[in-house]
Amino acid sequence: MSNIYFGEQNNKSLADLRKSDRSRWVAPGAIPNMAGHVLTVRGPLSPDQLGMTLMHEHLFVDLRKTHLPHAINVELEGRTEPILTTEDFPATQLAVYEAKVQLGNLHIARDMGPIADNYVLADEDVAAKEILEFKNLGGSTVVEVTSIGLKRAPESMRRVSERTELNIVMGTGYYHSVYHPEDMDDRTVEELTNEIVADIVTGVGDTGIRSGIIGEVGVNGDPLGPNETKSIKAAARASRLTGAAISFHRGGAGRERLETLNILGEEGANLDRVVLGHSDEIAEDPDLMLELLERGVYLQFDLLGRATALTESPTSLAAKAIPELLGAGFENRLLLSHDVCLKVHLQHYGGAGYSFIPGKFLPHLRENGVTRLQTEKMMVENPARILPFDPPSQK
Amino acid sequence: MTENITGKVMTVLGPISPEDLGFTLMHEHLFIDLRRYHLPHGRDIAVPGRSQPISTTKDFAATELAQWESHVSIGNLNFPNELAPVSDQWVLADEQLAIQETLEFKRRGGGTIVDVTNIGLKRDPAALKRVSSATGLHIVMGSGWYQKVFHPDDMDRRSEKDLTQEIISDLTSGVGDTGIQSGIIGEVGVNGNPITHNEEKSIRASARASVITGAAITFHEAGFEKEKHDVLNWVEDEGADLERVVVGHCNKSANNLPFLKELLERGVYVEFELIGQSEALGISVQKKAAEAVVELIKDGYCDKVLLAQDVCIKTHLKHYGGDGYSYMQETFVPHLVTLGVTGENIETIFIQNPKTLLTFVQGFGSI
Repeated sequence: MSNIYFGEQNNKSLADLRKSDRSRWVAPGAIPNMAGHVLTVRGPLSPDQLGMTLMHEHLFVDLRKTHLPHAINVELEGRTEPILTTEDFPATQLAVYEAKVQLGNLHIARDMGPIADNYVLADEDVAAKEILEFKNLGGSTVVEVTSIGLKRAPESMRRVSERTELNIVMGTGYYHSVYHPEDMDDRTVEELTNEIVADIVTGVGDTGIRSGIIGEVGVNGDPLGPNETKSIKAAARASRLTGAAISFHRGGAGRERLETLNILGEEGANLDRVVLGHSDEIAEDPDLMLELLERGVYLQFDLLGRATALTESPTSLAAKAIPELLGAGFENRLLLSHDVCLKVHLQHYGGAGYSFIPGKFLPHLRENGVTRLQTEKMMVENPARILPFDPPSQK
Repeated sequence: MTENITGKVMTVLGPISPEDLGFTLMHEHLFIDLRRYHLPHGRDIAVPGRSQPISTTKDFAATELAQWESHVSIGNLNFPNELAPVSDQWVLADEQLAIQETLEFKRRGGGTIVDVTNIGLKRDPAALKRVSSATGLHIVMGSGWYQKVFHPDDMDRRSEKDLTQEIISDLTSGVGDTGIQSGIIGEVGVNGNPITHNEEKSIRASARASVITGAAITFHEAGFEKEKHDVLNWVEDEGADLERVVVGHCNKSANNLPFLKELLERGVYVEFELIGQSEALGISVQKKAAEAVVELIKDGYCDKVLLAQDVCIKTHLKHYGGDGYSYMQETFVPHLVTLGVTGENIETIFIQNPKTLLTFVQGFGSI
């Protein structure tokens, strides 16, 4: 891996550390200064090379844990989180659950029914083909926010990046509590921080492929659990130590988002390095959105392309909120993406895919008075401001 | 007339008592070929001696043929969903699949399906009959002429009387030599804007046939916006009763209640068909229609409202990821109930109104 940012000496010492230290601890002094550069799965990149960027997507992910058939939570002594498992159910339903998504069961998958395969993205050829649709419409960078516990696939991402010539930025940190490791209760904030820092500095596992953003950090809240709080604190510390930005899955329910921001602030994170994803969910609460924006964070509308019949779609709600927020002067704090994460989201399976934003959404915004300059801000300039690293802090 | 069917409903298996209909979908397709309307790089060419231009394709790149001629499958599903040219999307022709899909409707309490596929759309009486036998569902078959693109090539030369005779023959002695009789006139296609002479002939022939046989008429659109009044005027001119007329595809007028009420005041039924129209941007037709239905019921028009799905393309079927023939029962009716629509209202819309319409009244006169 060509590397003009890591000194020869650093490279050696980091490799040694990785071999010798089970906790993958990286001494603060050994954290390289990546300031002003974006870190992709193929190495560092100048932010002016990013171009049109999707800030919250998945090329490879396994979300089956939260879509089990006949799911139940089992509370256990000595664990802060229940175990999510399945009740006993008739064996014939297994055939449905374990079938591939195909003609015949497609409607069950569309309805978010129990077809396990729908919740897995694991095909490199399909990923490359789908993401090229984004490139064909002028796209050039994808932030892949699959984080720890979701079967993140660094080498596949690198191969897809090589094949498609798209920049891919990989995530790190912990997703929401169902996906936390079994021993999350025993892990300390320091250990979690070390793991995140190591992903950014030395790479994921032994792949040498480094994460370029912390997230998606899963915070469902309602209420914020102790492990979620540890994960938020670790993300904050790792952001401060490395200079990487943080991207949240929700960041809590409703106004809990403010509490999450307080925790980040207490841990010394810079709130203008923070993205609150899935803000579509609060698109009908302008007061909360403005309150969050006043704190300096980015609001990200990333469920774009989702269609509905009987209710107004998140896409439509976002399309209404965005002009309002632009009008209130927050054009430097808005980000857009699709959060493709299921098979039925892919064009291959009839979904809107990775190209809905340039293909349909931006034209729709422009028909509704949003200027080309403003869409450029959301798709190019804002990603180019949030993705480059800040200088690392040794504290 | 071969027999008197007054007071009966005519299904593909023969006449039945209106009491046996049960929960009825008034506007569906089990078998259909809509490709003519969805040609790749389609264009209309005006030809001397024909009032209707010929719909054909421009020369186009051969590689696009591969897409046009492929089957709807995993990998190209986004093309049909975008209504892009994959010809297979526009054909329903699989009998086993039709049985499987319509059983989803029956399993949830469905009794009758009106298949409004008519002349020019590859209507398939024998297959409808077999599906009815296999599923135990009552199936009522349509007649009359669809949109002008699907009119026969010699439509200019065909007289109103000739068209009337063909519809009457479908209703009373059966389609072709199958002996299988139509039970409703429609879906009669009227694009309008403006209404052509051939469309007018088809409208008048449908009205005459309704008077003579006592069958109801169901329209595809019935003209563009205000033209619907012209269409209804002609139907009345021919002596038909507007109480025997369904104005279909009212989806576009769902947010124009005053206009819907204008139509209702003339005695017709208004029908919304609601499958496969979810929206990412903007408000879906389903949402608008649900709100319209609630208002119309409130204003006393429940006995003139019809709801159906209009399953007509592959991606409407569950097999291909759609909502299928049970969308009303599974999703839309429960949604209406959350909006305050009562069980009695639902019965009126899905049982009583179809029963009134599908029951033949006494016919009179001749061509």
